[in-house]
Amino acid sequence: MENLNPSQPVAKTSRAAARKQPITISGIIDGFLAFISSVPFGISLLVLLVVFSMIGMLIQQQELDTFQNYYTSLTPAEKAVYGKLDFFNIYHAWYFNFLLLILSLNIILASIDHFPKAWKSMRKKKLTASPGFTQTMRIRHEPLEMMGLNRSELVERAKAAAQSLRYKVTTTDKDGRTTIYAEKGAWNRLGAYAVHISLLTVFTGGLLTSMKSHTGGMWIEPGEKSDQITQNVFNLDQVGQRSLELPFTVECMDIQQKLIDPKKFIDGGNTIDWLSRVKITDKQTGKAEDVLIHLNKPYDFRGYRLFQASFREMGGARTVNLKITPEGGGAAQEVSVRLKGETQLADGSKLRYAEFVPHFELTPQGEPSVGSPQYENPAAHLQIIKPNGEQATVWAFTEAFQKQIEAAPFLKARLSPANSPKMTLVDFEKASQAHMLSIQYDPGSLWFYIGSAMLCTSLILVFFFSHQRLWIVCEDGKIFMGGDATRNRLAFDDRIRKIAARIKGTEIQTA
Amino acid sequence: MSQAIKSISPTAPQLDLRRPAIVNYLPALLPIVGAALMLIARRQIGVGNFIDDGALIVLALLCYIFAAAMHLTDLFAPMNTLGKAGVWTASLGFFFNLSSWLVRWVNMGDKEAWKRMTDHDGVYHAWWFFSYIPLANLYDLSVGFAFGAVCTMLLIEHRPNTRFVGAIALPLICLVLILAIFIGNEIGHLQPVLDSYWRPIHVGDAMISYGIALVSFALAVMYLLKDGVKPESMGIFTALFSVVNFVFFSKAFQFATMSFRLTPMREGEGGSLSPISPLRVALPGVGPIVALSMLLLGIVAVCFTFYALKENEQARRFGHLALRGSIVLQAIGLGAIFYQISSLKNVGALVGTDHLYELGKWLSGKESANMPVEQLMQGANNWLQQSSPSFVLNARSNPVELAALVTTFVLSLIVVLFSFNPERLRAGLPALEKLDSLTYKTVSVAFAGLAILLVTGAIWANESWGKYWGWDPKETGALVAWLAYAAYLHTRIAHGWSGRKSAYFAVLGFLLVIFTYLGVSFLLPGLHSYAE
Repeated sequence: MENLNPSQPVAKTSRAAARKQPITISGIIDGFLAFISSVPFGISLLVLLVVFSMIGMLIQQQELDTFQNYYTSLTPAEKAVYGKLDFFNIYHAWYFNFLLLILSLNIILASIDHFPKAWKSMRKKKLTASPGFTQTMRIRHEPLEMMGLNRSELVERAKAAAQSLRYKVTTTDKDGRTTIYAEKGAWNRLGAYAVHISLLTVFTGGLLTSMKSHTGGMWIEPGEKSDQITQNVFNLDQVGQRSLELPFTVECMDIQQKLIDPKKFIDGGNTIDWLSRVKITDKQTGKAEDVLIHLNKPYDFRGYRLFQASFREMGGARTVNLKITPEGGGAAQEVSVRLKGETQLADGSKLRYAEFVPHFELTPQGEPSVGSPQYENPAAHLQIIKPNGEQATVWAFTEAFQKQIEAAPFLKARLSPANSPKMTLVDFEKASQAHMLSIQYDPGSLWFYIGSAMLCTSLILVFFFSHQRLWIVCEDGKIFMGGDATRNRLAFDDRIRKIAARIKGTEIQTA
Repeated sequence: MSQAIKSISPTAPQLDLRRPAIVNYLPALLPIVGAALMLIARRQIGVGNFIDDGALIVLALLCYIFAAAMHLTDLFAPMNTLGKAGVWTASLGFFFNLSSWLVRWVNMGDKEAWKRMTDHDGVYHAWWFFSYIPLANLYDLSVGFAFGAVCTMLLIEHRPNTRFVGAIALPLICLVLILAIFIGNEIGHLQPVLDSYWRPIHVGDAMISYGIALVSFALAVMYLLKDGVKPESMGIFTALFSVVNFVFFSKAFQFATMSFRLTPMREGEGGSLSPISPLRVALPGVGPIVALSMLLLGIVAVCFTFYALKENEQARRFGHLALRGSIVLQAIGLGAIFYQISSLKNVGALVGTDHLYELGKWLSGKESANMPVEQLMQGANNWLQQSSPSFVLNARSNPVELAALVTTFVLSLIVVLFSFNPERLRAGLPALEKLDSLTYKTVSVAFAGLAILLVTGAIWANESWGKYWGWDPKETGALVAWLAYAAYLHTRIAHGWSGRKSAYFAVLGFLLVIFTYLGVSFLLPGLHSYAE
């Protein structure tokens, strides 16, 4: 990548040698190695990778949500051919993995092949040059005629000019002339290798992920706990499920939803964030931790990562505000209680908020049921534990619905038992009824992150800097300049012109 | 003066090294300062009295069109003043373009009363204004893509003798903005999971890298033209691109009825228009014109291919005749399409009954799987009776298909212009070595940018839903484009691969970028999909 001259002595000679020799085992191996380490072979692999990836893009892959519809729309012949060729799962097909393997091999071998040359051009410096040599360089300047100045004066000026542009200079006297070798960014020659090492690190991460990682989902609701995740298993249009046990349990304490407009429904279009507060208990040590998981804020636990994945679009309430009027009349009390939480009432009894129904309805048989996910007729199901231990369950309704109940004796008999206080649902904080956590174990992601960081850094170092070499040959009254840069030659050309101007500029001043 | 690069552009002066370097970069830097001032002004003045971001985009487009004309003229008849004027007009366009984007930023925040800036405990975080960065949909990205490309172009054009870049880059940038205008600047809802600080990083990198890739494409095309590739070959590509798109991808043309059809739209909640995707409405009188223009393009492809292979002068002449005829028809067709979009009344009455089943499925969503066909069609029919009077047409319904037609038209014009006097064009272009060097420079930066795009996308995916690579079509598309650029870079060390082969890879890379940018979003399902 760093050398524009299309000469590769190492690869070329080994290939030529392989051709000339009589056929021997080592000759075949040499030839084979030369072939798979060659750059054109690497380019061909890239093109092949492009083709396979395009196939995977154009033919739907089996883990997509829309795959089932797509699969039924195909003709039997298409199904048979694509299926046989593994096109519905191309990125996990053996030949795709084989291609990645060969590509990795090509990267490693080509790097080994090219490294000595890059090392040489970085370490070995050509310190002397002739005027003719400078004029064969890709970027060169027409000779500067500076009569009246002797060689040492010119050398001083040229050195100062090159150093002022932050070049490292080495001065060598030979054959009656002085060569100033000015250089910058020799390390840039090794950048390409850093890029390839980063890529191999990323590949290693990918390999570990594909072999060792597992991910699954877990539905959580306040008050419930679980140590199981469910994984989807794909086989063409069949989606199976599999359970996995975790080394820890997750208990949901509280769920919350941050809405754009609190008056509207809790759907995705009105949601900014949703939050789960959970208690994670390590099965081995028994240690428990309270953690908050919300959107784009996963939590790491013993190599596992817990993500907020989705929420059930069923209206719930995180807290309810109730007005409680004692059954015998008297001062009403207002309380606020969290789902699955308790609060103490004025008469000493305990109130527990057990369940929320967004759209309360009665079935024809008179059983309470959920009419829809929307907040059409919200109701909270409550438990009262009196100081004497007596328990009762009651519903809290909105004032409007309570009026309806008062007017209908059937409803009244069903929903408003005697001897219990009147509970009015004044207000509530909307939230979903359940959240889905995605729990992932992936030992490859660390490698992937390290490789990625290396890749970005090395690419920037490679492409935003260059190795620049400039030979300034000074004779009495004359200066010749020529050189080359691995990248950004136009800017290098500007720099040569600047150096020339600085050498000449001082001449004007002294004259 | 160095000899290797001296004879590049015979008329344009070299970079004046005595001036402070920053002066040369002013056309790229001033608009950024100006747009920042516009942002402050918008915050101070409020939405009612301030210029709309949509109007600013139209101003930007006008500037780009003028700047493109100046650049093209300067290429054929070099004149220093004209070159300068072209640069500064593009710079003014950059100012409008960037201002529009920043004004939109504030508009988006105002729309939600900056609610995302407070956390779940009600604490205000000033730096969370990133949540409202206008990088949420394809409109935003197109606007960003355009100014990313213009900024790159202006940075390259800081040398007077590189002012040719805009001659191809600017027409392409105009097309990107036209696409944006077709999509429309309505502010949509952001999916909650996308509200992450990785979004500005990832999408911001996308618009800059795409912009740089566009410029590298323009340079590679210039390299090929300078290297003796005939403008007619560009014509073959244009014709094939259009015909393939027309026949295989765009659903606008129905061969059986020879009609050109667009998706009707309906006013939804809050006055926003939404497309009724399963339906198409035939625009009266447009179909045959468009079909004929495409047929002529097919002839162009055949004639120019014959010319390219056999050097047959007659085929060339005949091809040009067909191309010109096609351009006239395309112009009439485009005029008719936009006339019908703006003036056609009673759109609902033109809806046929041949899509009732699809409409029924679309209306009942996931439940449609369990519903009998008759019930679906009956439901669709009832719905149609009720809603069709409120149907309207709008460019927003099929932005990519319409933009593809405009692209065909612009590319055809460029082919005619370039084949008018190819010798002169070749003389106006700088030396191969310089074009190659600039292509290499831009491709390398785009390559690094696309790598960062892939990496940030993967990290974002891992942070948001725990999977850094899932072979999602958009990821794969970005990877494929990156691989094509990787192949470009490696051709430079491969034995015996000349500059022209490299240039083809640079062209291919950008085409794949565009495919990822539009094709994947509109044609293929997945995380980044806008497909129905």
